[in-house]
Amino acid sequence: MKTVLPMIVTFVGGAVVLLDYFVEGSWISATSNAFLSWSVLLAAFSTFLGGANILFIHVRNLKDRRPNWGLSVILVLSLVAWFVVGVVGTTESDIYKFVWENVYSSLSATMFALNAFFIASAAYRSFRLRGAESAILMTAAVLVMMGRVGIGEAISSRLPMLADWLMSIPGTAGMRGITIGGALGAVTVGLRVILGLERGGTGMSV
Amino acid sequence: MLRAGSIADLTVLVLMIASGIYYYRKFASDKVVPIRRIRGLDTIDEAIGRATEMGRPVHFTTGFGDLVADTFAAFAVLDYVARQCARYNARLIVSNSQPVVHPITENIVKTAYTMEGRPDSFKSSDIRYLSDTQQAYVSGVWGIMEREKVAANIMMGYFFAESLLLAECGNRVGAFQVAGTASTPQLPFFVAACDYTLIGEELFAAGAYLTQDPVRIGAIMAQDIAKLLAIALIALGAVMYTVGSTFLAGLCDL
Repeated sequence: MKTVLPMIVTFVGGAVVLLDYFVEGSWISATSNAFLSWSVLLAAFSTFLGGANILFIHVRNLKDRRPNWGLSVILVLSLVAWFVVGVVGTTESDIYKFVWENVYSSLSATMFALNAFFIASAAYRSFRLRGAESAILMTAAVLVMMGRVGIGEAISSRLPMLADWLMSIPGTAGMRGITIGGALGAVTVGLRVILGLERGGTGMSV
Repeated sequence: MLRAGSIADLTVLVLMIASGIYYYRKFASDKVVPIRRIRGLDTIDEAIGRATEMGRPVHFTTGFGDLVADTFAAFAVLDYVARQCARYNARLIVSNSQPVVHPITENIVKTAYTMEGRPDSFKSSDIRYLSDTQQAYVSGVWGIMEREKVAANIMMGYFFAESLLLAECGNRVGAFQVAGTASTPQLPFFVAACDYTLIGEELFAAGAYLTQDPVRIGAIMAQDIAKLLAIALIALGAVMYTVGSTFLAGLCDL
């Protein structure tokens, strides 16, 4: 039952939503919409499971006095405090908005900004000449970079045109090839899931 | 009654199902099925072996994506990784960003350890839900990679802007990195920062490649048939459009 039930649920849910894409019918659309609404509810419920997992791990860190247990104290306190502020004061309260704007958003923007430095360091490593492929990669990258900055146009007026051509013709063609292959792969995985041939979603050995 | 504009889609779907069944029957009796080598998947064993030798953990994450096709494809890889880790007694840490993905990964790893006869080695505390907020998830993974000094970092699934942040951290701690995604904007970052990258459809072929299961290989063949059809339609469409005919475009819109 533990094996069969998830497969039946997956098949029925997947087949109805798929059918709704191809066939017009009020009951099919209504059932499909209901299933999609249930999935939102299930996702919301699973957030509690996720929160419980975080608490479980960090409370155990505290209890066993594991290395860096002080960080677990900060995490548990922050989690509880934020939960209380959100539930009691609602997300419209001043304190919630203050923390969101002055702590969360700032930290988030800082993390994201690190991408600028990481792009440079990753590019430096991948542009090192190790063979024909990295030579092509480096040449194309240098041409595109030069074509995108003012100094490139000052060197030659053709550089921006060349950069545009590299981006819009070979670059787009390659990306579209990957997109088509990926989309077809996604369809086959979807079919395998619906037909119970891919059991990863049920948590069973796949 | 069929919806307008869905006949062409349905035809491709039926073709894929039919060819999948045909190739499954063809390969069901074969012990060795021809499938091209995917270097990124071959190196997973190397990554786990390296972690075992160094006595350091293997880290696996499915990215910031929800339960999408990439994530389902990543589950097949996770199953394989967990089995190998159980076999070689290497510690596996899985970090999740989506609460719906977390219990599934926990079940997959637990089942894999049980199937390999090592249920006692499974630790639920090593399957971690971090946060469904992108940058908090990234900082959580950074913490794990830095503190645990992971020897291998396997990233399979659907990734967003966190791809480079995670890959660069893995690089900083000296982890052997294998990544795979069909998210085209993130692929260049993985190619630049990781040792091996599964590009697009290679990720979806991972389950078939690692298990050599005839059903899954049949599905890969169906995928290839659809790809050949797409190539033929693009070539034919380009020629027909050049000579002024919109017949094929109209046929695809049916």
